[in-house]
Amino acid sequence: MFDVMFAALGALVTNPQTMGLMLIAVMIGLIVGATPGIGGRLSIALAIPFVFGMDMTQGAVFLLTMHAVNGTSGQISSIMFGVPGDGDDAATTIDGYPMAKKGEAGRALGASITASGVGGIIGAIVFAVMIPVLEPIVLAFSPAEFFLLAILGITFIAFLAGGNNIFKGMIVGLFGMMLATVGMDPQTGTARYAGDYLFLWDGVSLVTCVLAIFAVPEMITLAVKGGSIAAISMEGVKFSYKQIFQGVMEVPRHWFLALRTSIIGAMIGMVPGLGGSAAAWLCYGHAVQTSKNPERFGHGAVEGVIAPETASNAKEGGSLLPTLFFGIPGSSGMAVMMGAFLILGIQPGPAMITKNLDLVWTLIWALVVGNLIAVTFLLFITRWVAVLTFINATMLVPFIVVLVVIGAYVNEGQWENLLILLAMSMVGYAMLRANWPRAPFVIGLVLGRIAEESLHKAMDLWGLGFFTRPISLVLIGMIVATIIFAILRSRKPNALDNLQVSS
Amino acid sequence: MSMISRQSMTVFMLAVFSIMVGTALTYPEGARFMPLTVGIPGILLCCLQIALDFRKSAGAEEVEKDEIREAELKAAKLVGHNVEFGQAAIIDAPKDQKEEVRREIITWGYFLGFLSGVLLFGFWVSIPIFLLSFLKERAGATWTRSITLTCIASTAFYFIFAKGLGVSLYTGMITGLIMDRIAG
Repeated sequence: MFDVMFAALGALVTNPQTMGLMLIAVMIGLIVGATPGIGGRLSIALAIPFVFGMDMTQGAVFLLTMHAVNGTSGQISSIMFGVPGDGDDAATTIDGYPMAKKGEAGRALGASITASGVGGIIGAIVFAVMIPVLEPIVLAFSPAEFFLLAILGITFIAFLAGGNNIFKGMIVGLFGMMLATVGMDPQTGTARYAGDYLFLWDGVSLVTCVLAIFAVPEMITLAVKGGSIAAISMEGVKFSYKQIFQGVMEVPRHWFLALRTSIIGAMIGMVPGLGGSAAAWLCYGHAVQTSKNPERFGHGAVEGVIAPETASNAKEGGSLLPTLFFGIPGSSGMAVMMGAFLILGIQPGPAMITKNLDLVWTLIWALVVGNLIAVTFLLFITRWVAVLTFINATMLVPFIVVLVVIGAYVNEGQWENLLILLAMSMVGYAMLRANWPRAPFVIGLVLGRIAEESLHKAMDLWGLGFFTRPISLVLIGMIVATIIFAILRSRKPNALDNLQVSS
Repeated sequence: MSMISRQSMTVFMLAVFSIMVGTALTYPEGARFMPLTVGIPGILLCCLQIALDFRKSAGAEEVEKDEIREAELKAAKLVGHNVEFGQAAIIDAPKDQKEEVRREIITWGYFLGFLSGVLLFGFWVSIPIFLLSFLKERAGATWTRSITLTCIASTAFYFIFAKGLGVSLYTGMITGLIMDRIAG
């Protein structure tokens, strides 16, 4: 295993093309992360057109690096202006903003950027450590279990939508699975729901659907509702590199807290459905509870910046694990990432351990190297990246829409995909306006084909008896338990809900 | 979102599942297995959701979530005192519901117009027109800024996709016909 591990590192850092792509990905990821109105999920969807023609490994490294460093620059507006970009950043704001108000913006930014990088690296290490532990479990799975895993995946991701929305999440997931059945049936050669339209015989384009469901509705909303922007002048939050360096040194000073919160974050990331901000909030709470002076929190305690930042970035490493080995995305961002992986020809599942372990190690190293590059860059250019917070997001809309339409077309080079883009954008916008979760749709679409193949294989091997296999029974139990738990949660909100901000 | 709209989404999903399940019944046994396995639970869940929507309609009106306020409350619970975040100004926010609906229609019009433009005249004709009109009319940029950004972006798109990635973008039905005529 060690030879594969170090060979992957060697191949990554000695390939100038891959390293060049990583640098570009880091820059784009940092810029997108700091720009209001564009989330991590959207940035992956928008980057998909650019990975066409790329080598499988390079494309995956590019996308993963971009996604991994997104959050590193996201907290700049939270600390400098007290305006959190999303749920993860909200936890950082509690102490980061008071620090900035006390004239310690540089120290807070230095600490948060370094903590974010450290979290990302430890998250990747936790993922690496889990590989030998998970290997026998992953390899014990047969087609029967993979069918049930697909159902479990949708249940988990529907759960991610929130207790009250689990049925909506499941409906949307099944809708995605239903659309996955469009096209030529592999068993009988029947053209399902395709009629005489040849372009539908290969099925509905995944890229077009991802762009339509996520990107177009967000852009239309941005154009309709206007872009948010920090209302405070940057003049009030000046800082020096000396302050930033002081902040950097706060992370080794609180190394044990950083280590603990990184591990907690990575573990939370491994559990699909816990939601994007749960890690940051849980770890902030952990920092308060374990502090000797909890009264300092909320008034500018640097530990209150370190804990959520390490956790929120460490969870990316953790959420890659179920995505790659089980085909169950750990988060909605990873759901879009999984769709992108499939486009690149990467098939998540046990084969990742048996045949593509080198790729897995390359991705782990990409997380480590990408975070190192991002931290180094950001410590020097924070001042300028902060200016992005003042961009009027409405101005970005037309450029993103052009990218979306190009992306939908270049995927298969068929103009008919533009009609699908329009139809699915309407569905996506209706979901957004009606507050329906959208991530389960992508999971359903991705897992639909895998589920159908697995179901047919399982039926051929065991008939309906595959439901009674021991692992199948465990998985069925988990599906039922998830649904019951979600129903109970929707009746009585629990502690977890209190720690989650909508992702 | 109003109650009617919330139910509309469920009814739409129910219609999709019902039509797809109905169509699947006409397929051979092997081909209809998966659509039925997925579609029938889909129909049942939609019915359940409609029942839940009706039950909710009897209760209080759902208030739109303020995520920042929620985060402030959670933070206050954790640290034991009030926490206030900064303020973000919304640039160009709609004044009322009527204005929002008007903008929705206009924005969808732009999107539809761009797609139609691509289908009829191709990407390279439609991109600059769409960018210029949106930036000037919708985003409120000045003529100078709109023209400059349009030129820079259109050139960048051309060099990235046509030259850099070697992607051949759609030339459009009408442009294609004209090109064919010119080529003889």
